[in-house]
Amino acid sequence: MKKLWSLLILLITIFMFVGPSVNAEMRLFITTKETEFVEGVRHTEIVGQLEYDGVTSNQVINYLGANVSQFADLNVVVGDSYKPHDSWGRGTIIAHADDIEERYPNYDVIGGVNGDFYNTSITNLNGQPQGGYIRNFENIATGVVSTRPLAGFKDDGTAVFGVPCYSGYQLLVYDEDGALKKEVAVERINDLPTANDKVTVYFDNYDMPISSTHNKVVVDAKETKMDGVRYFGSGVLLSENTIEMTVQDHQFVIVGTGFNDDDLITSLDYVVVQRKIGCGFEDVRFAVGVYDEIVKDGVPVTYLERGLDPSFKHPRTAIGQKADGTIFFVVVDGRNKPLGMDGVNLYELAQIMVYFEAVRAYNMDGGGSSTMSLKNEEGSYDILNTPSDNTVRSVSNGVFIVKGEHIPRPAPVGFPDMRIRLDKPANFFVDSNGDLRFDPVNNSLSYMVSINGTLYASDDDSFDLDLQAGEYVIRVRALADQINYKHSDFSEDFILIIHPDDVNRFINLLKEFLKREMTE
Amino acid sequence: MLFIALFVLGSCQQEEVPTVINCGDGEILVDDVCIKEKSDFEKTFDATDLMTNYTLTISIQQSADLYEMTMMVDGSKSSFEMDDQTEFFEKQGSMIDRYYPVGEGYRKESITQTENDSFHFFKDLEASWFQTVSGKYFLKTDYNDEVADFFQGEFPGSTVSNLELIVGDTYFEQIIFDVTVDSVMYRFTMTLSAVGTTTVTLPTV
Repeated sequence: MKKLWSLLILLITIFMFVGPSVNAEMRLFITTKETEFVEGVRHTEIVGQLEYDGVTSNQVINYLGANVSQFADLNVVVGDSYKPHDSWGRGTIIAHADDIEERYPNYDVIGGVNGDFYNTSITNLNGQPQGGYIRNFENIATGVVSTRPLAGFKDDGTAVFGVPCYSGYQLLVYDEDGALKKEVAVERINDLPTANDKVTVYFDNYDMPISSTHNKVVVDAKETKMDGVRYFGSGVLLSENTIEMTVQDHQFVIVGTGFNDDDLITSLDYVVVQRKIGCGFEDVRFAVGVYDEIVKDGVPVTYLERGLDPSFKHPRTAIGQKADGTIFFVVVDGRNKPLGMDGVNLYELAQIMVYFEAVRAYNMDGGGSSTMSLKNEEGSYDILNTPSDNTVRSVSNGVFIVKGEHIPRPAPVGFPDMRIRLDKPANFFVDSNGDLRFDPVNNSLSYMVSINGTLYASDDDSFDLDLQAGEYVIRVRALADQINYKHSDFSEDFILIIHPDDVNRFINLLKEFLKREMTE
Repeated sequence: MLFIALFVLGSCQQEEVPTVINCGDGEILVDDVCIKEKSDFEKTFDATDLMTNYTLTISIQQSADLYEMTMMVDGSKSSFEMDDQTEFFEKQGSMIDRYYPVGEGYRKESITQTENDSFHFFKDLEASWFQTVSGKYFLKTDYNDEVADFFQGEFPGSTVSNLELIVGDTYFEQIIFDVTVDSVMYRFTMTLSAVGTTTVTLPTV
């Protein structure tokens, strides 16, 4: 009996010192639950009461998700409204979605949520994300706080979650097809190389003359991002010299003894200078910074020491992954009790993510930033939740589910490039069926047709022109296997004038008259 | 003697007196028939119909849009130029060789001539179809349908109106008319030139 009492006391003691009932089961009393699907993307809104840790609260929860690992034409893409130079900048998630569709015609944004926490100072760093940010394989931001995790997305539909690591800077030289020619290690930024085989890069925040006689390759920067500690730049060759020079605005300069004497970088190439990323993020195409890991191995994390007031109820945004590869976002409204939007703390958010079958989930920027959008039938975006600012806040970046396949990344070609370039297509004409015709190019696999800048694929030397009346500039390039042969340059311009249908028929009549006018 | 005299007299015939045909004013004698002498206006129709060498520039205007083209006929050869692109044709018996631009040069293909017995456009016009208004020649409205026949194959239901003909000393100089297709009006202006001096040189392929 004494042993029995001892065991009872021990058990009571254990229960008393386990602490708050963070292991308690969440109960969700659903008042309404509505689900819709848009292009394979599921949206569910739940209105009801959440009971957790002895506290009952009113909640409005929005879920948006898709199985991006199963369907190649559903992908996760990040978006932003960053300025190309001088500062970062912010925008609404609708502006970010528009930015995605402008940058990548192959993606149709279906919906998404706000992304990372960000710098709100009134300096040129306003909008700088706290974590890393990868846009189309480019490490635009590498994390003000080095321990911030990333949610990254690869072309095969897999997701990578965790803290990336960085190992110095790299100079990447891509040819005009986007194939990597060479990766060069960058010794340091805004300083001269310490040896003849070293290369450094100067950015335009360095306002002193570069006085060395090293080779200097000046790059016309398409984009630069810097905060004095971390740098990113991309652009095309502008000029080369060996004289003293100062870096001009929106340029960066690659410096090295004999650098580019071998014409590694040509005017057709695209160069990137960035911190070299690792720890599983090497082949990540898109990534956004996240914060607390709130679900691990399908279990809510019960001890959270980071994040925004983990024990306080706020509007919250989270990203999660299911066991089947589905990526989903959850936005819980808050700071609006009259409308039944009490908000959740991070523990409750974790429970909600498990409710939606997350095996892994991370907290993202919340509060007034918490926003979820979904494309409507008119092609514009509905805001699915009720942002607590009563307006859609401008945020640093966002993460979205898009319809559309990735454009495959060309395999590296090496340098020097030993492949044979295909001849340019030539001898264009439009046949009686209205098809564009040209001479076939030996060793080509297919063709790319550019009509007023819009690109189309053609399997052979004939392309059905279904054009409205107007004037068109048509160019064609022959596509190769890129192993033994490389794509041709674009052909010379072929100017095609399409007349209105009535005029074409008048022309046909007049030509028939002309043929009858000829005598033997 | 009397018999001989009767025989001689009987073998003689009365000599025929040639008939003098006097044609009326404005008539001319053709194959012993008086026909009305053609006016200078009428003669231009005959001359135009017989042309085998000429240049015809055509403009088609629809609202503010103007489309211009040039047709040249040089016997068995012809050309059609528009938008700085020229096609050439050469009659080869029942077939026609068509030369079409490809890149910097030309290619040739053999095509069949479409059977067509419809109105042969301005060459089938007749002088009697015209009336003068304020010194200008206009197609009588009764004959608009005759000309419209040229367009019916491509534009069933289309109509022709306001056809004005300007003639020179020998040939037509200009034909102006409107074609209406589904309520859309096209103004045609056709100018004839270089009759007898047009040269079509076929490209080398």
